[in-house]
Amino acid sequence: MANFEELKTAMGDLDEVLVLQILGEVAADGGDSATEALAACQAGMDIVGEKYESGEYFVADLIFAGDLMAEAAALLKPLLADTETISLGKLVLATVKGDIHDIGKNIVKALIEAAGIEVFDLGVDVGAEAIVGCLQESGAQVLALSGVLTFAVESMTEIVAAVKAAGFDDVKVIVGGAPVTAEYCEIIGADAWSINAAEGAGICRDWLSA
Amino acid sequence: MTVQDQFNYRKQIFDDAIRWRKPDRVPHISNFALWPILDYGVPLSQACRDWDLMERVMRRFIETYKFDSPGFLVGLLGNPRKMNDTIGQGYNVIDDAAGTVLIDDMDLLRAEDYDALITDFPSLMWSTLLPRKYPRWSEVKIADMKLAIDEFVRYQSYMERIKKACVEEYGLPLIASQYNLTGFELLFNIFRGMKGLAYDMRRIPDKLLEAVEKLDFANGALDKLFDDSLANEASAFGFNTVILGHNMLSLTQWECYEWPYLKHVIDRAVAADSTVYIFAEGVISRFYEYFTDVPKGHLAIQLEQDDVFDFRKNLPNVAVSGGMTTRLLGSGTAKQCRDYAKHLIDELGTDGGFILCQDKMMSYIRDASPENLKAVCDFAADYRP
Repeated sequence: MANFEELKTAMGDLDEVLVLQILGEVAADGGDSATEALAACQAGMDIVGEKYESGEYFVADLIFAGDLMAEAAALLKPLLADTETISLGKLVLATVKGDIHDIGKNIVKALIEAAGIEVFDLGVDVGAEAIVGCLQESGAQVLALSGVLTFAVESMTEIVAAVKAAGFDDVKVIVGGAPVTAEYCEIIGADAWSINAAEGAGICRDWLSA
Repeated sequence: MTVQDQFNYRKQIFDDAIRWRKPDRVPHISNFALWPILDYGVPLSQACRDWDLMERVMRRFIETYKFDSPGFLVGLLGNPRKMNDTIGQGYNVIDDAAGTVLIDDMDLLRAEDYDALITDFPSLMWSTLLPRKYPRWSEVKIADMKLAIDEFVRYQSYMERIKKACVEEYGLPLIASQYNLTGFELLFNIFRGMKGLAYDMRRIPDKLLEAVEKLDFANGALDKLFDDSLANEASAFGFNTVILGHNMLSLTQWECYEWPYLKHVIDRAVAADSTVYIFAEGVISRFYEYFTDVPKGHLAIQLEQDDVFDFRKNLPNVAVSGGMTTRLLGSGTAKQCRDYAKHLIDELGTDGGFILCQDKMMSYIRDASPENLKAVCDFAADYRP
């Protein structure tokens, strides 16, 4: 029987070898404890978030954590029955039109997924039409837009205007990335902003938990 | 004043600023990259393939806006695109419609290459890294390779020409007369990229450190860069460098991979009674404590996202470069821009320790309106605090 407390700590410590070893044990046991293993990994990601907040970890660690969590989720997913995958809510995520930077977006994605939110990641260089379409199809309650270039602020403004025009007044919008400020957040028409991945993920979690 | 007089005057006000002597006026540095091409009115893809055109772009920018130094602009405008066209590359994409160049995270170096880097970096470069960067490297015909080399020579010639023009025709000291990147920054910006390094710091930290030390200290590499830079009369400062990789590092990682090498050149500058100018892209405020013991008068740091007033409060021993906001330059009025430039100079520059500069690298056309930029440049050139 895998030790889930040890798995949680290993994930928090970003001990890749131990995380994969324990997940291997879960699979070898037939996957019956995959739900507990996923919960332990998610709890480990909470530790990662705490270490980020305390300054022990920074962006490089979040990149590694995000990929480790994604690898863990990919290993566990085939072992989980559909009914066992309980989502806190749905979120559409994209780097906006004219920008192809995806590292920040991917960090946010990993942290949001670890919080139990179903993410529809549209990738990079994504315009209003694709985002509105995805909101319609997915029924997501939150839209998260990322960008690094100054130019991204204009794209975000256009996208948010299109989302509102399409009638998604209840969809909460968060924007993030280097050029984003409180002032730009207001101009864009978003509900929240952050240049801190962990903080951004926390805002999304709070919205969907409310 | 003759051009030589102008050059000497500007070197003096830069030196006064970094050494905290009351300057005749506060110097003003350009932090521009692609904006001058767009301001000139030509597509990026055209300018990046035509060095005569690029020279006209540069000259117009220099003559119109009259900064005291082009900053890092000289090198940033250069990119041997035609060479890339010939032998192939896929790491950056020009979007003329948006007026942007998007650069992918580099992953030329793989984790398994570190041993080769440590043993024989030039050999690794030719055998592995260049073929990865240029996909057609191994199959390119001799005639095409000749075209690529010719284009690279034209690019280098343009670079030397424009640097010479800055100094000898316009009387502008250079900030980046040569490129001085520390080992970690070389890996971050050129060879390994953010994601690769994030993995290496977790999986093979000792190997990464060995590589960084090899790049910086083998055969006195960093010392040689420092000595060459110190001997360069065209430079405004003794040594310059750009850092970006720190934006991904925790304090522990910074202490391991970045700080020792910065400290090394700062210590050398202090010992030689010289100066160091660091362009800290992104955010550097997490690391202020490391600079508190640097003796006053030897170091200036150019900021992007950090607040210049907060910097002054935390590091009264280090000159600061920055402050002029893109927000105002892009969407304020000329008066607002002038008033803010005056505020910055009056608050931060009356007794030295301040260089006026834009708070981000200006690459997008709406980062600044030409009228606002001209207003600030004219004001900075005339104002005596």
